[in-house]
Amino acid sequence: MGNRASKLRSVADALADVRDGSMIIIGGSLFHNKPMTLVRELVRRRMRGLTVITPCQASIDADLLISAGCVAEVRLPYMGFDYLGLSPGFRKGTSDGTLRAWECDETQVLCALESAAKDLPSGLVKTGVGTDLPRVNPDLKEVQDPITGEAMIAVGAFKPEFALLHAAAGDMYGNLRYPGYSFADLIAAEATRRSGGTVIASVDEVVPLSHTERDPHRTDVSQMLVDFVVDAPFGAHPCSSHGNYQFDEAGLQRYLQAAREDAMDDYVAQFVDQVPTQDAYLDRHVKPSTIVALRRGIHG
Amino acid sequence: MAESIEIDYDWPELAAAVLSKELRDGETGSPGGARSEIPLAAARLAQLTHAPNLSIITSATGFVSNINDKRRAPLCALTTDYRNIHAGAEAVLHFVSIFRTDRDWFFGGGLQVDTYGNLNMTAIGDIRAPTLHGPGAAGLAYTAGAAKRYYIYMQQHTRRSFVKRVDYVTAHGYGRGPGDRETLRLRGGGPTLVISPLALMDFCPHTYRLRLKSLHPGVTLEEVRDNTGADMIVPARVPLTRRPSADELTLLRNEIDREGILRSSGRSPAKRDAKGNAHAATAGH
Repeated sequence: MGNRASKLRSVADALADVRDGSMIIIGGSLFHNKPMTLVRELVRRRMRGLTVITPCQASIDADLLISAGCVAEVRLPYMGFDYLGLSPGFRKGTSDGTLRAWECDETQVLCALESAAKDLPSGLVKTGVGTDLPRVNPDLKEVQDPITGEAMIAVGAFKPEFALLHAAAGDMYGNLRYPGYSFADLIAAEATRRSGGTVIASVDEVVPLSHTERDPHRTDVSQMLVDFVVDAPFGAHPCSSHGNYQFDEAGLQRYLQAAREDAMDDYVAQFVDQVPTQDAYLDRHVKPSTIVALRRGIHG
Repeated sequence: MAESIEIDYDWPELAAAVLSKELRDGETGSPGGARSEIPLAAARLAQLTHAPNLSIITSATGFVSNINDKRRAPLCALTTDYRNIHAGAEAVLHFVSIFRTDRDWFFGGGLQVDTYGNLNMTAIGDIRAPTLHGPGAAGLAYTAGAAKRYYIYMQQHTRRSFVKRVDYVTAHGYGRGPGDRETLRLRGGGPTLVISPLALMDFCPHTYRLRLKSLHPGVTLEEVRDNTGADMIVPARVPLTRRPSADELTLLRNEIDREGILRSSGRSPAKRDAKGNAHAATAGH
């Protein structure tokens, strides 16, 4: 019998190869399935010059990295806190010129990722034809379809070096399970792996392989695409782990409040530097009654 | 005619009632991606009344839903909120399938809307040093080009949000007028209605310019004119927007939105936040 290798790693080991200037893609969308334990580790290490991609919507994931000075460029279709307000770090970075924003629609990011996943140099979309998106983002090329001559937009493949995902459950070999929506996590993993990058998934719970074997239909991302698994209970907090626990609106508000009070250094100290492990983070910032309420919230 | 007008509803309820009538039985559509309580309520109200065979796709979460004969679910501001699964979800689309599903309609909004129904989500002012960098296109650039028709809902009606020409075209409405969509071979038909806290607007079929269709009860023509920077056509006679009926309000308050999200979102942002917090704290009950 051969010995399969476990992919379980500590947060620090899983992210050890991320360098200043790396291109990373963060899964989930808006307040959902954001690998916040992994994000906080990048902040803890004070990474610099990252390019951050999100296939769907970004909120506190990218904004915290921006506010902590880790990001040079974002490639994301939406950056904000929806009904809670705009993104403070993003607004500051784009107004003082310290942050580049690669303007795009989510179908253009999807095209860039599908192209990478298929090992193609670029792809065509109709999205953006007639808009100012190609004017504000010269990487979106206005072209004619070579077959019909129709006006189209060409998007170059993204080649992320690291994908950071969060799933509710995963086994030690990296089979990931999402009880709610997995958004574009599969294609983010496919694009990253096909580009030679590393896929790192935090999970709320490391489950025995027997759970995976019981119903393989419910494995959303196969271990073939996953390099490292990080055991991170409530690792999406203050975001939701879709279908496992709801997002913590008060937790998101604490971040926004810190930004309003120009107290982001304090926020980073309290929520990142002073809590070096996920257990320390939970003990200090997430009351058991909050966890219970966020879990119950799933049932409507 | 000096008729006193009693307003016993908030404008998001009026908007949900008016927009629900636009959605036809058997259609498939998406209730927009941000602050979506109005379109979600409109589509669910349509399903409970004249359009029992309407299919709702909760945008980028892919739930395909029909609320008829289902348990009651909370109305959420987010289409991505997991709790939408309880609002009659019967299937979950694969992520790429969301963008391959032909949609009869969708709803969207923006920082600015202009005379020809173009939307700006990108930036106010020069993008190199913007007054406000917007949240980005999300999926609006795609759906505005692809859906058969769409409805624009604006949370504010001011000269800064209703402008002559958007600073940046993020989602193409009618461009600069008739023929633009056809020349670019955009697939969908463009925006059909715009609703705001003050008024309902459509587009002139000849010029494609924004046109005042009706004033919400209690709003004056001067108020709308003073707050509109777009080159809007104002007909000689402007009727009042239909008020939500007693039956519609009963369905909205007792079935679709029992926690009163629509009523709180129509008021001041401070109240909305306070209500939102209270809502999250009681999410488990």
